[in-house]
Amino acid sequence: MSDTLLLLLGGFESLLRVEVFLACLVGVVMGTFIGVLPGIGPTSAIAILLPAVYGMDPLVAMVTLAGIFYGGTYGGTITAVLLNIPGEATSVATAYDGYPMCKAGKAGIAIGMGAICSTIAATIGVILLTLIAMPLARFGLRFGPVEYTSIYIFAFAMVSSMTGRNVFKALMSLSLGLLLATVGQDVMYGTPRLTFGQLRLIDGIRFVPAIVGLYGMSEILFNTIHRVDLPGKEMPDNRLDFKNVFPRWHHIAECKWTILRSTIVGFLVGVMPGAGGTIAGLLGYDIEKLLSKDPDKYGTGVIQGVAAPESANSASSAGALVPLLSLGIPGSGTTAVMLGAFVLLGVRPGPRFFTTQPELAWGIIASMYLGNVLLLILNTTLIPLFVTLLRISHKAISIVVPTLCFIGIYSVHRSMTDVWVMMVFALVGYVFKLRGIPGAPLVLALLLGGSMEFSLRQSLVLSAGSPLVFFSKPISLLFVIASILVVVMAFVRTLRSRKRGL
Amino acid sequence: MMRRLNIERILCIWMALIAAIALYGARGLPLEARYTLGPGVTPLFYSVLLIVSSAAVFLMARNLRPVSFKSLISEPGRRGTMLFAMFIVLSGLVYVLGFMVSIFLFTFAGLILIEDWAYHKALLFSIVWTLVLHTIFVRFLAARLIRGVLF
Repeated sequence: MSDTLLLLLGGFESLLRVEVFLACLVGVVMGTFIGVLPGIGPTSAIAILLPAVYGMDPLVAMVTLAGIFYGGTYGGTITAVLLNIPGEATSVATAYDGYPMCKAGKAGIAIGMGAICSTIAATIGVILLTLIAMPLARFGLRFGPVEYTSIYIFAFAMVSSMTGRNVFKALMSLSLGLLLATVGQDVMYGTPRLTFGQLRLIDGIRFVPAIVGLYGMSEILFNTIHRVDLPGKEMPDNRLDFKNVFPRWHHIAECKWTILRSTIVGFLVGVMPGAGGTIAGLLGYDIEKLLSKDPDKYGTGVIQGVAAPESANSASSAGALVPLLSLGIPGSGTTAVMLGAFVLLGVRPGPRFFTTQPELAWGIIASMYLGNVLLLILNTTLIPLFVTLLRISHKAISIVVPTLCFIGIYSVHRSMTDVWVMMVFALVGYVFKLRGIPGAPLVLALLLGGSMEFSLRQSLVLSAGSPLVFFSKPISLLFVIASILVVVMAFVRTLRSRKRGL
Repeated sequence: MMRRLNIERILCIWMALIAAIALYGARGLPLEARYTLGPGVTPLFYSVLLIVSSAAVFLMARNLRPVSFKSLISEPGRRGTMLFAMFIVLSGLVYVLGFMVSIFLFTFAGLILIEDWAYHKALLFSIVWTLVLHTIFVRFLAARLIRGVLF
């Protein structure tokens, strides 16, 4: 415990470096702004910025990207409340009560409450992350290839079954990612696979252009075609100056248990692979509605209806970093993209991350404490500025982002082939988004497919070729059974919804 | 046949084609190695999985609007087609005009043709944005970009 505190203090010390502090500030400002923009979420933003962080100091780069990640959940509240358009999917449930509050002239209280709840929940989430991450990483040190193979399979199973309604679509996305991950040299013997004699394929398909195309460019393409028009004069009149965005003490007191319950729910959902902020927000809202003495009031503008989803989605961001930092296994599309950033910077998160790169690991965690305080200040003082920026940038983003992706992707490896790969993935991503095919399984598989194959084949070597090894170790057995259950449940759900004609 | 092809089914056909190409590419790879799987097993398994899942999605993708060429050139698809076409032109143009000039032209044309900006505003924004990108990538990140044969 005292070790953890000392290491965390070391992390805070690294925040005293001007560039790290600025990275945190820039990250959270960008995160809020990205959250405000409908259509572009933190996943796309991190994907778009991947090439730009290449070559940067890993701490500066990761503090910026982490700021975008958790800052996005704050920004989404502003448009959810003011325009009834969740700027970010995690704020869908916030709009249920936030917008009615806005129509009643209480937008300031709703946004202020959202910011305060997010700060409290995110801070509790980061405290839990601080306490859990290192012991989990130490526990992870005991894992061998057998355990890792089963954890990878579990992560794939969860992401495929939780994202989207049709498991076959998720499976298609996953198998494409896994297949693409086999291109290049064989992970064990170095034999060229699926390269068709092309030398440029020997290193495999680079994940950066794939991620940028799938998440960044495809979002822009989608938003250009299916444009979300912002309501102009329909925005209810609300005063959003500093005085009016702070809820009263009694508002906070009314919501204290809501905040605490939703924080715990959100954190647990975040830790679980495949879920994420959107599910956390909706679940937090539904639980509070269920527990309420007057559930019919939800949806008419009750403050708990804003506090619950905001607390849950903010805590889930911290929870999502637990498996990523401790085990090196991302549980969602956003954390998969963050893993991509780590790999691009030459860092591999996992059980040894806290011992080999303590400054980086604890620097990121410490920056989250600071970032959440900065976000509270930003989201209570600069709301009118963000709304103005939203209106200006809404009509430039479709041109600005492609140029950023274009120059960024080229500059990483000075390769126009990467630009073309990005464009192919942009088209794939567009059709995926159009038809509700999740992109997260593809990205996760592309990033972890090689590692899973290596662990699988290593496990078989260790057991002299016996696949029963996966059932003989308790941790592995647990994850294998959980994976089977998750997949079976997803198949049953898909077939049932087909029968119902959904 | 073409009438039954909606966008989801076209995607499934492409996925199955990718899997078929992978199966062809993996045909010579050994399936067994000493005490473990050979390099050919995973491409084979994943290709089969891709074919099976694509076939399932194909069969489920009924009652969707068929794809037509008209949807690409009429609103709202026109803007997307134009953006993608401009991006392809940009990719070719960098060899001739270099990155910065091409990006300036792309931004300027895009703001006018896709976002309906006024000429003077589009011109000003394009200049500022090109300078911002130049500062970030060339000055700060020291990226070496193509200059183009004309420069």
